[in-house]
Amino acid sequence: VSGHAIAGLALLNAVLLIVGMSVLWSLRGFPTWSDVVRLSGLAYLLGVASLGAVLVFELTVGIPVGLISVLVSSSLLCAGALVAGCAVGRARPSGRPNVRLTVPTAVFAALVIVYFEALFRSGRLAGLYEWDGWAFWVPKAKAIYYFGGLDERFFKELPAQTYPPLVPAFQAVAFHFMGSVDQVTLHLQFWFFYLGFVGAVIGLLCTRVRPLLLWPFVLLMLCSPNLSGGELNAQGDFVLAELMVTAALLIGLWLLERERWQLYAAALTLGGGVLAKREGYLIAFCVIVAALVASKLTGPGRWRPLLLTAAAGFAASVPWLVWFRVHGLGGGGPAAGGLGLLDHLDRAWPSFWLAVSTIFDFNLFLVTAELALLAILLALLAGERTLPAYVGLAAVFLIAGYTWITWSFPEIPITKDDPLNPITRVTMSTVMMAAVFTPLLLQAAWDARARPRATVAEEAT
Amino acid sequence: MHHSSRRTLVAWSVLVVVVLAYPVGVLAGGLPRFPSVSDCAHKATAEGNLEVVFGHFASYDDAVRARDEALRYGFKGTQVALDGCLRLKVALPGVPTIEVGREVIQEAHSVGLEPTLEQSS
Repeated sequence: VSGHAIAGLALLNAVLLIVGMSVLWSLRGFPTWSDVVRLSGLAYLLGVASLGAVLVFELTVGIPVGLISVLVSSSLLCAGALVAGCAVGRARPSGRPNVRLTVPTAVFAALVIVYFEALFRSGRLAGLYEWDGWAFWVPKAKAIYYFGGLDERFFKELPAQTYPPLVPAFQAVAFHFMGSVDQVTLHLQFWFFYLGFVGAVIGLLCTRVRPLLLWPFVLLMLCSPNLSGGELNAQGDFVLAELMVTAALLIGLWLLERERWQLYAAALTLGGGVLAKREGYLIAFCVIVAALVASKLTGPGRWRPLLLTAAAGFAASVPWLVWFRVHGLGGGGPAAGGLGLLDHLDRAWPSFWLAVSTIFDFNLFLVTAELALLAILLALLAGERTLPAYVGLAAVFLIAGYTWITWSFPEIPITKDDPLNPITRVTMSTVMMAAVFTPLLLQAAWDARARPRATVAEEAT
Repeated sequence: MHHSSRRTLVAWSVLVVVVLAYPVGVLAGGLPRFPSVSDCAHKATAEGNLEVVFGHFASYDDAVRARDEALRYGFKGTQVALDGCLRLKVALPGVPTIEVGREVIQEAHSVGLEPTLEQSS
């Protein structure tokens, strides 16, 4: 708990931003300095995903994770990205940064910034109270910090042994940059993750959506009761949601715009997501299948790039899957995951209803899901197909996935009480997706309605 | 000044004023405080939750050594516990009153130990 620890964290996150900037420049390029500013949040998340994947790989092959390995890995990633960028002819950004601002946008942006200022203040002295955090996320990080790597004997003593280690790896790296096992200041690392995510969403949407459609939904997401309490918890739930929602948004944008870099970036964030928590596989599966079906339903299906994106994201987790099987870690899986479901048919409807009622619970998520549903309907009514199909299908598949989670663990009671059933945490990704896609859906509906009128006006003149 | 640039200036001013208002308001009450390890040692000021503390230690070995020394001199029930600041404290909990606590400390002084009377949190 010191200024030195905070400065150390700031340095670590500056490294992540530089890595991500290099990666995004090689994938997409930055034609202008405005692009650099606008996409810095996305770049930061790509830095988290790409360095995270490298750290997990290093841990699984026995390379000790510490200050030196982080700095060397970051330098190699930057160098590789810069070489790749030069090879494909990326140019240096040009022009002066030009961030246009209107008074309403300034008011909303100021509220978001004040929210993060207050969040920083509360995170600076936050205690490690959350059960999962002190039971296994932070102990795993401490083990990586003290022993330099994965100690299978220690991991076997913990709950959730097979959870992938991206979050503990970053926590351990944060301890190194802070200079001690400062599990109080550690919460600020999650502040940086959340800031990067919100920055990524705003950066991706601000050129595609009117400010008055975008900013209220960003604030709605920030202020949802179930989202505004746990974003700094020293565990993997929010990191998973941040990476997966960003991946889903990039895939959604690709369905509309077919820019190749969007899928490259989605593959990285999907990879980061599946390395953050096991639920990452479920969310990635639902998002990719929704994109495949939406792409087929609404035009000539482009399955190959989507399947390659999914494969690349999954590949990031292969070293960890091999490591934990070779070292005999296990447990934590559902007791009735496959055909066992048939022995618990009585849980099917209650599990489904629990998932739906959680997502639409005003006390947890305000009216985020209701507004997303309305936006889907408006977009469909306006004649849009691809985006509402993608978002709607992803939501349906995810609800089916959450139903499966409660159904397949017979020991879990049907309740929204978090210590007993993780439903309020696992549904966060879907609600955050709802908040992120609603502005895009509303804009699509607006544009679709405006299009015929514009055409008529053009014809009249 | 051009109309649109004046509006942009107003917008930026709104942003800067609102964004600075919060930290300025917070800092008006004083600079942020960084708790130190001494915040985990609360000198006894009232009855209740009292313990005689034989020291706060960074290492488990040092803490166990201090606990064994206290036990050797007859301070039964002395134990090692986390102090909340990533250190270990060697303490005799369950002291009923400040008066009793002072007597225990006097007894410890007589054998060369230097404990303090603290309020456990």
